[in-house]
Amino acid sequence: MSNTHWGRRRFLRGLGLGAAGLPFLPMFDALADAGGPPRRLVFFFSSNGTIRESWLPTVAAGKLALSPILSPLEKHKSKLIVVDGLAHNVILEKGDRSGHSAGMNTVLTGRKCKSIDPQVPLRSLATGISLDQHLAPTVGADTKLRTLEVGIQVQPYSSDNSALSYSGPLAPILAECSPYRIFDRLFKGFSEPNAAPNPAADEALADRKSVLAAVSKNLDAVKGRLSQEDRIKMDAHLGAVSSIEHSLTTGVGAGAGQTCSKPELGATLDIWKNDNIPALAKLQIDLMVMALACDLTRIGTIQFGRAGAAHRFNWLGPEFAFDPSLAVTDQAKGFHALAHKEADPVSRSKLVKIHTWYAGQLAYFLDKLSAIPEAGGTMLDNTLVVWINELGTGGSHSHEQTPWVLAGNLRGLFKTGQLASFPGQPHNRMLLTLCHAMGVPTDAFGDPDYCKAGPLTGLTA
Amino acid sequence: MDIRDRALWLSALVLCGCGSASNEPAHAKAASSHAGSAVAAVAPVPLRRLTREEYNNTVRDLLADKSRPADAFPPDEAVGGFESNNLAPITAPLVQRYMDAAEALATAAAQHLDTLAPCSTGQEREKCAQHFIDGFGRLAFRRPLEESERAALFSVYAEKAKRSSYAGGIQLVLQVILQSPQFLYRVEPAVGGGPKTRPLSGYEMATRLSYFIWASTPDATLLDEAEAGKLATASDAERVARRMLADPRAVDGIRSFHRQWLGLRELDTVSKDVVFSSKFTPELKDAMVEETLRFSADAVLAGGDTVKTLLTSNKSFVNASLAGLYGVAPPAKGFALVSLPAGQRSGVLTQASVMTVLANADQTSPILRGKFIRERLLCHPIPPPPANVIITPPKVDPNKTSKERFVQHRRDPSCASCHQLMDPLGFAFEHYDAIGGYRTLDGAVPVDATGEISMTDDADGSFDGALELAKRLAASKEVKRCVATQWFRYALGRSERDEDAPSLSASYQTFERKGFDVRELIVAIAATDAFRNARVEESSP
Repeated sequence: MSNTHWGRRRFLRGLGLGAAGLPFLPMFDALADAGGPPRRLVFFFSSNGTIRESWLPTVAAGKLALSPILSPLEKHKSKLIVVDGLAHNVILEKGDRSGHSAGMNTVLTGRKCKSIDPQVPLRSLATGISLDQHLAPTVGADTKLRTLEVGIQVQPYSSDNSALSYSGPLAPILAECSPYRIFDRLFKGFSEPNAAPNPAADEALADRKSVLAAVSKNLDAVKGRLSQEDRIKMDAHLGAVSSIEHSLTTGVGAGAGQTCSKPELGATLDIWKNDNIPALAKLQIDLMVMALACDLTRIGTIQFGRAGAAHRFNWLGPEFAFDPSLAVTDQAKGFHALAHKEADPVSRSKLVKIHTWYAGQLAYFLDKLSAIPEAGGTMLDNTLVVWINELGTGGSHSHEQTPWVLAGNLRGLFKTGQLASFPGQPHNRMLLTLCHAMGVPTDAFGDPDYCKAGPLTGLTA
Repeated sequence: MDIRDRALWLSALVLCGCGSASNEPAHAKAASSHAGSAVAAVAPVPLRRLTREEYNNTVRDLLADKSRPADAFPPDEAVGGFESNNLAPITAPLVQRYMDAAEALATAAAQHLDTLAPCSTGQEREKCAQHFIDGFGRLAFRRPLEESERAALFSVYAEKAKRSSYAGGIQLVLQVILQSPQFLYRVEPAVGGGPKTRPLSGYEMATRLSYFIWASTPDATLLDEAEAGKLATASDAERVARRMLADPRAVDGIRSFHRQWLGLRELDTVSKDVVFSSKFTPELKDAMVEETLRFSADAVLAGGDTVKTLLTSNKSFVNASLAGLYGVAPPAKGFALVSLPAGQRSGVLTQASVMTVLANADQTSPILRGKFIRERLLCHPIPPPPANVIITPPKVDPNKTSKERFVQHRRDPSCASCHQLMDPLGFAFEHYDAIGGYRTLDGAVPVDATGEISMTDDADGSFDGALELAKRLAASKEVKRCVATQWFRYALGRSERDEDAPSLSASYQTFERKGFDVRELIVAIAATDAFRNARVEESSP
């Protein structure tokens, strides 16, 4: 992984040079940006593909008419770009694996995956860094956490189908599913400005710094004795230690607004109990909102389950509950099992309900962001939320027509309120677009063979 | 994917690759290539990070701390079916938990510094600290500290002791040690004059042996033997392995192997639907795991043909919650070894733990059960179904047996090529319901547990029920070779590779010669080239 910690000045300089040769510049003028609110990018993940005819909006008289699945987003319609048609071409053409984990591995990395365990032929990992981690050294340089990955019941664990983020080839980063641990990471030692000095806390901090410094030295020493492959592990460990060191000594960011405050978590929930999913989702989203509002991070991921999540949506209605009068195979209770029965009309209508519920969760997140005033608008005007999925449709493990929805904006950069269609285009072009939009321009992201046509056109103003 | 998903996934139509020539396992190639005694090239063992179980056992043995802090860590990563954490690099959340655990362990250790790092009033504090660093550091890093490591740890101590106290300094040293790679990983240097195969140092050998046989850290005796050069030869390895097997800690290692081999960790996440959920209590679930682990350790430590005992014994360890399930009288207290009802049970395969994991939420799963026999007992990998498969599992019908319902898998040639390897085997277990209870009716019709086993070297044939199948498996050399292969994977934390063929072959031959006593297999694996050597990949760092 890259440990490069770009200084702000170097970043700005690099940006100017990097931008000069590019024909297409859907990005900020970084210098003009210097005094403005931070730009933020949050990925919002749900799994098992979608039901396209219930997802795809229509356009009437130049205006979006939302589909049943997207209907909860009605209030934010003018801030959406629904992107249809993108495909995981790198998996379709070069992948040695298909299915849920291949999609999971490629959606943010834009690379093929590599099979890793001969005893379990389906297991594979991504062969490159994910977009969020790629942006972290620049976009997240000054914040307490360079990136924040929150999960809602990402289980059972297996790195091949559970991770969206990769710090480098074969190096997955798992989302933290405990809001309580997220809370500690964000707010442990959090002190209000002008708080009274706390010698005990200062001493504990000094201890931790001294311990981590010694640990880092040992990691460095051990690294030099290992094979090339194993050195990656020491690098990842060093990177993790340095991010913890950084977070120990960094508080509220420069971009924090009036809304920033330590949230209350309420009574402790069992984070692995299926029926707690709605409550956990609210907690994790609230924490993400506060992490952004306090400028503790600028890059986030909100992940509902692993690829092929098998959650049971009991809270959506009696038809999702166990019915003893039905045979077991007619129950199709879990999300993943339902997705495989998408051809069956009853399962299909349940799937539409599930995807609509996810849209509702996204709407809740957007509601919160748009309730926070910032620079004459709201936080949503400076935050791009990108809804992603590991597949196009769950039942057939399709890597075509994957459902992408962009919400919010980056200070007017995007032309929102539209349906954009890119049939068969590689999703790498979307990742490339996001690189440019976040001010980290590059000619290629992920596998360069799928970036030749450059960023997607028509999305930005 | 969870069990339920996997059942659906496996019942997918159209499997590919099973009809063609079977995968030739590494041990088959071994027969011809095993010759001579010179050390051939060994395959590398990737850097392994302690598993949760190893971490818990290690801090128990180092600090007398039984708090099991690693239970709060994220799950371990298995490769080749066994947890080894040798693949995916670490991430910040786990590093954070190592930090939390180290702080908690150090705080707890401060309560008994008088034994851990004693320093009586007359003694110089610095000397006590240095003594602790050298002694504890050697145990925790599993080798003597290097000069730079001693100095660095001492300066952590001194700086803190100056600000606070002796105890404070020792605690901070402990925190550093418990978060250092020398403790968290099993470091085997791989640089210097490569590529080549090199013998393990005595300390590396002590470490491999202790995590293999004890699932824990080497003790002072083992490190002393390493220091004295008494772990250098194959016969050293055999002698020490035998001694370690006689130590009570060997039970931890044997239990760990069986927990992983038999997939018992899956019980953590298994859930059963209403039909069974009232009976399937957390107590019963825990008892199921404990039964199989006790039974397995007992079978191994009893000696004799372990595979036969594991697969055919009519006895098992039962407590009050299990007694009802098995239809036997509950023991007076705890677990007791009892005979199970005649004609109903046959070793681990019919134990409630295994049957429960290998079943759907409210019905049996011949597919999962057949797949388990193929993969875990015969070492035949089953290829995954092709992508874009549409899954249409057979419908449940109370007037049809599972076998009748699954007939589709045999009629459709695209299914049959793989499912003929699994389903007919899995029917053997139709007498065991979704939580392993014995049944004679499948819905409204009598259970049909007839089936057949095919495509094996020496176990092919038809059977009625698990007892007959288990008898075939227990007599099969192919099964015994597979058991040896599984132990080999467990020992090295990775799948076998071509270079392992001589080592696999040698350990199997000893296993066979010693009448399939798993203790002898363990000793033989410890003495193989693959176990006793490391691969050097690089010429310089």
